[in-house]
Amino acid sequence: MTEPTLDDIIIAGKNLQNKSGRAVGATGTEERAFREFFGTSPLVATVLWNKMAARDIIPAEGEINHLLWTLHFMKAYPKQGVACSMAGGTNGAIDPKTHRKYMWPFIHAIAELEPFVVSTIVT
Amino acid sequence: MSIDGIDVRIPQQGHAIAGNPFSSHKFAGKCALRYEIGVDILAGNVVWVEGPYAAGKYTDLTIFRTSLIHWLDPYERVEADDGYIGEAPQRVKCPSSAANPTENLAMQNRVRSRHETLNGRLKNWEILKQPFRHNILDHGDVFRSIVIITQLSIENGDPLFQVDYND
Repeated sequence: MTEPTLDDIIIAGKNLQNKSGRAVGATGTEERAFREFFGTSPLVATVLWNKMAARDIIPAEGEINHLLWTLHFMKAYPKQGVACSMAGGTNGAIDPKTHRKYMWPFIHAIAELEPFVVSTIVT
Repeated sequence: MSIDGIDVRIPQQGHAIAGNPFSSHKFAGKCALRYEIGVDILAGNVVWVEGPYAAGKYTDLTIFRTSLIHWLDPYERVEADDGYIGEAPQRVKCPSSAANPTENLAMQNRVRSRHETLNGRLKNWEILKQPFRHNILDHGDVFRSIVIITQLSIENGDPLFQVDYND
């Protein structure tokens, strides 16, 4: 899979927020909405994906959407039904097993980045 | 490096009383896991994560003595709150330590308050704010994921506030 650009992440995020048909708002407004939903900026989500890709630890069949499901899950910590409804975006709720299948491997994959991101260089 | 502990709620295991190994004083005796986080004082990056530990059984100082203390260079010290006074002044600089110069207090306060800012950023994630409802064995990875995302935010346009430190 080719590395996603910042725009790919923003578009995927808008899809999950059920805003895919609407015009793009001011950059600041869009970024704030993204942060509110996924806990971090589209730039950080892009960097996160690229760091996992560089170390080949993206879970099997993992896609940008799955990373965003994971971020939303940790940010909002919804119950199963709510999480699945959100993850389906405009297409309706997904199966809870599908949600679990991708979300937990992504959490474990992000945690594997610890030695590369949480530096041991101390001043 | 400045260090501090952070407690994160888990479902209640037994009574919320002193003596329960998971009982956290920060949550009125309710159960929690405790992590230790270290922040690079000059650059403001997260450089150390340790845990999880049972919050009632492991104090901040015990966790420090279990792991980080063995990684410090000779004569290297960390900046911390009074919970770590048992290792002051050899390994820790605490505000209440008799060896701590009073003129450093304001500077040290800023370092510690920045650390609390970081703790606040972590608790912006509901999964760390609410009691954890999933397999407890996954909690360490969830916590580390959020620390990693927070550190990436720090590196990419959302740094912690800068502190001047010279000691």
